[in-house]
Amino acid sequence: MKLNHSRNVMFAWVALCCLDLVAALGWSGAKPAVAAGPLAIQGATIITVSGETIENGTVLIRDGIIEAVGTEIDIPGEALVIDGTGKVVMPGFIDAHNAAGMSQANEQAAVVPFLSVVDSIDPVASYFEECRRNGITSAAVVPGNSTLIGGKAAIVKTAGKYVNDMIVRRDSALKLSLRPTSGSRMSQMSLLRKELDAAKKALEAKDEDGKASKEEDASKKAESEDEKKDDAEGDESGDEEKGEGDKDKESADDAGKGEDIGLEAMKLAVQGKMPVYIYCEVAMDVTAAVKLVDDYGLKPIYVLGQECYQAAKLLAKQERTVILDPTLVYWKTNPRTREDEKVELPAIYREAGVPFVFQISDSDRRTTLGTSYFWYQAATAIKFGLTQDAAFAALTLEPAKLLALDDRVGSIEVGKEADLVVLTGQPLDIATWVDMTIVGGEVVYERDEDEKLKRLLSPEAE
Amino acid sequence: MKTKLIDHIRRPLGFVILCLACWIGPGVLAQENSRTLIKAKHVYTVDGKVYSPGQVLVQDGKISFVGESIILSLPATEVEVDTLIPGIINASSQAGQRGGGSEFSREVTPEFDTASTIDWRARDFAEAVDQGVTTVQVLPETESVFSGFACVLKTAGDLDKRIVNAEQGVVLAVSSDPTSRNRSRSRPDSIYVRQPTNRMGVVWIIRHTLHQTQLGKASDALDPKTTEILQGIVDGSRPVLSVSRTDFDIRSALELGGDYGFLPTIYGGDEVHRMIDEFQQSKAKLVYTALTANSAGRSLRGNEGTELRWNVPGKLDTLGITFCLGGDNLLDQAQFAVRFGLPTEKALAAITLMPARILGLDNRLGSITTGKEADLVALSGDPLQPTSSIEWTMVGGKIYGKLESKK
Amino acid sequence: MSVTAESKTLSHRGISDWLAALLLCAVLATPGFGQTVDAYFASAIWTGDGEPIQDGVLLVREGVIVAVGRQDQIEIPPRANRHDLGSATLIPGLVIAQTNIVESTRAEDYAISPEVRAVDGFDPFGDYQSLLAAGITTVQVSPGGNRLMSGVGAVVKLAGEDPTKQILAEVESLRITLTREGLSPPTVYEPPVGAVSVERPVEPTKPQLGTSLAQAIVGLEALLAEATEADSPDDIRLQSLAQIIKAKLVSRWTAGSNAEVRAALHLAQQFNIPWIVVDPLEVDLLVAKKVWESELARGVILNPELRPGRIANPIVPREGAKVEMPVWKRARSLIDAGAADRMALRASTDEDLKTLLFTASVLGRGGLTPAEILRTITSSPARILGVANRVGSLKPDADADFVVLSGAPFEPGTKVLATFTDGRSVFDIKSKNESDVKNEQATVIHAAKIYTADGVLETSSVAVVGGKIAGLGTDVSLPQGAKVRDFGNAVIIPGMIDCSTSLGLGGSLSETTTFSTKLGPLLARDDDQVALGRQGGVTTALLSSTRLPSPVLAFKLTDSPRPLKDPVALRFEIKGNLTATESSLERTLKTGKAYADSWNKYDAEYAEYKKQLAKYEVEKAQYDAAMKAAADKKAAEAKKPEAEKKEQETAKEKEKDENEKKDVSESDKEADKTEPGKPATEKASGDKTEAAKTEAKPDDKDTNKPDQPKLVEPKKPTEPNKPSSSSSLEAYRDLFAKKIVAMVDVSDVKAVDLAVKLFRKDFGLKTAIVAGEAAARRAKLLAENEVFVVVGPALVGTDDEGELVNYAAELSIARVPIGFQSNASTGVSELPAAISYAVYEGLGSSDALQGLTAGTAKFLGLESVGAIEVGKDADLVVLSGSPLLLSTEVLAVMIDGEWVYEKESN
Repeated sequence: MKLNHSRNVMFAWVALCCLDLVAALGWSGAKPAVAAGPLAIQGATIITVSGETIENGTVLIRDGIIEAVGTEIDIPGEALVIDGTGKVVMPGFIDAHNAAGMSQANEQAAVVPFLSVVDSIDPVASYFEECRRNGITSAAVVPGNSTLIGGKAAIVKTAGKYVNDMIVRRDSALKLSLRPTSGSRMSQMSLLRKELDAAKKALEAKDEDGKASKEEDASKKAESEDEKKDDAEGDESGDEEKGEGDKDKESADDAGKGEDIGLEAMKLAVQGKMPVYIYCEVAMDVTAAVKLVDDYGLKPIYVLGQECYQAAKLLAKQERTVILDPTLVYWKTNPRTREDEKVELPAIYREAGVPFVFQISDSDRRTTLGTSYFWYQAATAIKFGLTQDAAFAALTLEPAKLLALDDRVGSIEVGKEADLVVLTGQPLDIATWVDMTIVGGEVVYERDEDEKLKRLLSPEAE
Repeated sequence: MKTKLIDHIRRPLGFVILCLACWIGPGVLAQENSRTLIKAKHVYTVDGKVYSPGQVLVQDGKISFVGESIILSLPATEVEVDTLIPGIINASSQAGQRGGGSEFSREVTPEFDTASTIDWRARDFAEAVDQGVTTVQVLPETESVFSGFACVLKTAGDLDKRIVNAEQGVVLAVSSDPTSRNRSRSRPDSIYVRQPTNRMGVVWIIRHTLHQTQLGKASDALDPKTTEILQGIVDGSRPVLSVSRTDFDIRSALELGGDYGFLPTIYGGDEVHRMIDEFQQSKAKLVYTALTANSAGRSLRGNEGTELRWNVPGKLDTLGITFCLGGDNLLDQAQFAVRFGLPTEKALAAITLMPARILGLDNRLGSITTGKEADLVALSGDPLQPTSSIEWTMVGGKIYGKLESKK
Repeated sequence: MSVTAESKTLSHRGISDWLAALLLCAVLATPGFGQTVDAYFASAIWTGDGEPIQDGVLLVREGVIVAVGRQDQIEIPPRANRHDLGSATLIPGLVIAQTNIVESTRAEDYAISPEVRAVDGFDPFGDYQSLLAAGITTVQVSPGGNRLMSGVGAVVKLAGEDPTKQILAEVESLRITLTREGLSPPTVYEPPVGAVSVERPVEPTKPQLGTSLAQAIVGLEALLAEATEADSPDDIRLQSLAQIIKAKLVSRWTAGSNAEVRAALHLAQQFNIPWIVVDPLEVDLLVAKKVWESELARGVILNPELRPGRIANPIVPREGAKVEMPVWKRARSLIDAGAADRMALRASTDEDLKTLLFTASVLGRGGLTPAEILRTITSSPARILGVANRVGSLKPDADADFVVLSGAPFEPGTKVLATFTDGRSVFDIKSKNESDVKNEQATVIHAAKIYTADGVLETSSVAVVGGKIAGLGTDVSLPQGAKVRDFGNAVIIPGMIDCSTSLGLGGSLSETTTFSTKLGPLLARDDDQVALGRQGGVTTALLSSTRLPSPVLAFKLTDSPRPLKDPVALRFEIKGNLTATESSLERTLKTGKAYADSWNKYDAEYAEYKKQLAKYEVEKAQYDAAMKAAADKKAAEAKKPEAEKKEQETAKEKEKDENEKKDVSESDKEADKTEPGKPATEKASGDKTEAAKTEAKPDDKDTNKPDQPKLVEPKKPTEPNKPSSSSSLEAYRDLFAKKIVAMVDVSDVKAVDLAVKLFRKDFGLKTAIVAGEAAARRAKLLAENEVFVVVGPALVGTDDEGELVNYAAELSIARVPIGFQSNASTGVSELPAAISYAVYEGLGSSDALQGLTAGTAKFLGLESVGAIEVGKDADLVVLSGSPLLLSTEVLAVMIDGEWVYEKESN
């Protein structure tokens, strides 16, 4: 593919074809092909989200990192050039909370903090395919809402052959759900508090023993992993696996030492070292959640059910970005007055001053239209008064911040990872499609190659 | 000083629109002055013209003028909006049904009077108006083979004027829906011990019943009204609506029509793309509801999973088949139909004029045309963009929902 | 009320006041100075402790009570917003010592679950309006009741700005149930859970302790013992139990029989934990000596065992079985035993909370005073729950949780008007029933007899709200804060109508007037004559110039006389040479009629014109559109052959032949708007254009078709021209429309005949003649022609034979409708007396009353007066006895809801 001398569209096209070819061949094959040289998208409208929108600009990518963004950029000869004329480039969308990437999201037992979604993530799950098709480049896979302490979440890129290719951060957060699944809310809360107390107690116990270093290591490990990924980004997953390997060994050792690996996540949580997703089904759960956070010094990410809007004021005080229910607008009938009310979540939270990001309806309730798409959620929010920029941020930079990934993804800036989505037109326009999705500098989706989409859009019987 | 007490009262939460407010309030306002002049940046009449800007004069619940401008010599309430489209018509709705949408004791209940199951205060209608729907055809549930009458209703207005047509047509369930409850073996006294327990049974029952009717010896079990209706079907005086989703269901429906001399309008049509040429030849009309199906191809009504195709509307359009979109969120459906390849103006027609035509009501409804009923929807922008929101809905000259009125 | 308070503060200005001011500053110098203070003035304030304060005031700042006391003892900060609650009573927000208002009352699996906290089950966003409406602001919530040790209760407020601040006590008391319900635990099974089982061994299915009281006691004793010993046990239940005991948390024992109570007290003492006994049916042990001296004795909570709307069947006591003490007796004896401030009353069930203010009064049977009863649902429960410092009584520094009652608590008819928590209104009856928009001063009047539109009501009442009659009946329901007047065995009749007076102008009017003259504006305010005149019970009077013809005004005899109908009639007279008068009158009436007709005609035409206009403007617009379309097509065609350059020319041409067209301005303007030679449809944007183009063409054609043949501009309909209007004749329009009446003064019989012929027969007017004897003679004729007769002042005369003739009576017998006139000013007050003579002489008193009220009102078209009927003006006359008897005197007169006269001694 060295034969690309200039910005000759024709050659670009040829290059594209090759790309298509390798894309068709499959992910692993594609890697060396593209990783070999820099990649440039040229002449496109670039919505950086972090800064100004650049008309007729160019993004230059090298080794999976954005090397340059702007209008006056000379593209190295060897660079593979994608003609972006008339197209719009955005940072890849980020799904801050979903259980679709894994199989069997909920554990029967109420307290399973030791489980990790990593063991359940299915790289070929249709969810990830959908993600690439719809421009989602990073996703937090989180245990479901029906287990009190559901286990550990993980943040992944949406492209990869093996789980380990995808992982951005293992054990990124712990999942709690206040929806009563066994017994009343009262007994659930008592159980939850008990577990948290236990974790605290265990910590104190160890402090006395003088080797309080354990958790720092744990957390360091988490960070170091991130670094590892930073530089390991893009090259093959061999040593990654090794990394994971020895981690597992270590934890095995812990078990050997009689350390309670079951409690580890809980400990990190009560130390505020591991964020905690707290799913609130109704408003009263929000008060409970806030209380928990205060009592145990948790680092919360609030995942809100529809009815939580009643606690909007309280949430505003928390000054944290929340994750809204996929159903943004719905009707309900007031049980006492029997009056029909229309609830418009985006409007409510905007007026209350609560920053929010979106969810898409989980795979089993996916419909042909509507809440299955992030762009649709954003459009709905705009209907109810959100500004366009805010809406774009809510798809990209906001979730990145929420997941503490904003140093790596979420906007188009020099030095950030090249997770991009190329759109055929203005985002949020009904006729706009994802033309190309790029993860870590590699083209992982192309509309022209999307056989499933073609079939869906061509009704002729085969 | 007494008022001070009132001052303390908690105000109703601003963000929750109390329907009371948006139902009575503006409705009354529009009522006081029977003349309303709507000035819009864009008026999509859907009868072929687009006025930008355009003006629509509404008088006594009818559209008395559409055009670029009109000089008034009499006072009228003036309303300014960005975009104006005709009221949306949902030809396949379940709105407001209470007390069971179908009769379980028998399979042949064409006399089932859907209009009488309607709870006129049901929230469904408030939601419909909120979504710009001004007219709905309510279908009975398809638990019985001859399910009953479909009726056409207005979604708002004086109760005595809400029913447009109580006996729009007879609904046949040419699908496996009616088999859901029936058992061949069960407690002998159960009313569900009967055919059909499978699809063949469904078709057989239709065949048998219509055959008997043709021979003029409908079983004595049926009361005269029922027989009269069946007679109406075979002599083609009563329109037939067939709820069919899979391709073979549609085929059966068309065949039955051929054998007994009626041309059914197909409701559902999820897999029509598998036999689309056949369908085109049949000249049958289609109310397509599959855009509301979920990713597993399960329609909101009916349980069988069907193979999904997204651009069926586009295909239907290119083949010149008379069709419209039906089911919930019609504006969304139209938008996505455009996304999937249906031309914009056709998409708009597919939720307004086409349903009106299929219901045989296009002389009264479906487009912004002088003399037609004043069912209008005002939007904040291009009706087929997801970012534009519905400002208000006018049904029979009364405005429901948000309203900026001057003068 | 506030006014009085105002005057007080004004009254003692002086050094003392300055000192007070200084003091005030001192008070306000506390943090939050400057924050607005709310002052609530009420006729009585029950603080929850001790006896009520009469004419009290409650000062609230920042949701906290600053001061409470008598209005003359409390200094009101100058900038305070004053809320005058009138005759209302203030009580503390009710505190309920035990409820189950939690998200799920479903019982736990475990018989012993001290770790369960009710606070986790309380929904601060729940809908508690019905409770707040019942005056309940604070409740104890406890976990499910049918387990031996079901968990820990909490104390919460039912409303508040910040949900997290609604919780007063997160951990209040440990609930233990020794009664039957507590002693039927299920068997539990804890399934082994994956890795968890490593930490915790599997617990197999096991029956739980305590299916009998004895067993339960033993078990509890062991459990508590273990908990006290173990410093940090692993088992979570023991753990939390240990903490509870350490914290000396209160234990709450549901115990009915003596045995259960004994067990409770025994265990509590043994482990030295404070106790509350709930629902004791036997109190022998609780009233024993020294019980309430122990600091462990927190309190006792009684169950009224009374459920409004339900009737329970008491069990017939078996031989020798000792009869259970009723709850009020228990209450009494507990008070006597010194538990007065530690005895609370709860509601039998959560549904009954709404009615607690009523059910509590059952304790009255035990001789408890209202104050004592109120205490059992306010301050005492607060004390038992350990939140007395914040709620339960109205005292400085406590939360401003209070309830506004329409009267004294526990009195029938007393309603909760409003409820406040932390100084914020959380319930207000006004917001509940929007029906009474503004709360006008209401009055209710009781009397022995009330003469209503349909018959006489015995011993009943009239309710008056906002100057109108709002209610009527033997026991009319009381509007909010109504003032009640009881006139014992008095009689109430409608205010009477005098058909001709010279009242209202401060003197009689003798100038000539035209029918256009409006007398209403001339009425004098605060006229002494009016004040005197109305004392007889006449509330509505007619007024005209003494020089006829003249317009007649009907007005109310209020201090600022209110015109009712102006004019109500036109008054003519027939006297002197009849032939002359006849012709002249005929002329005037003719002109009048002509005038009226011309206008009626015009009205009809104008209506038609409007219809036409509506049609026209639409046609016009379509015509313009068509013209333009045609013009555009021409231009388009013209354009085709020629080259682009010539476009301007074509444009010019187009404009030319535009101008040639006879149609004017409009279409030109339109054409100028669009650039020449572009089809209008091209304006439509995007891909719609194609659609428009393709489908527009055929459309355009067929829209033109109707216009094509006749391209004539539709004619603008011409507005019918108004007939010349003349103010002097205006009145006739109403007259001939029969909206007003023609009143004719006639001197003799001939005049009567003429009046009837001219006004009634010829011109078919609503006619009333003013005559006495003459009318009586022609009674038959008048009856036939439905002519109304105004008689008086003279009502009785003698005929030629010197026989007594009772004009009114004669007329009434002939069924001629009659009214009465005094023709007097202050003498109006004597009219009823005058009529009483006619009644004495045989005029039916009901006929007379008709003539004075309903009958006349109806004839004159004064709908709002003349009868006591819901919706009519509150014009009432209170009489000492039956109406129209000389012996009867007027006790009071009300006009438009205001008392305008009251007999001195009253």
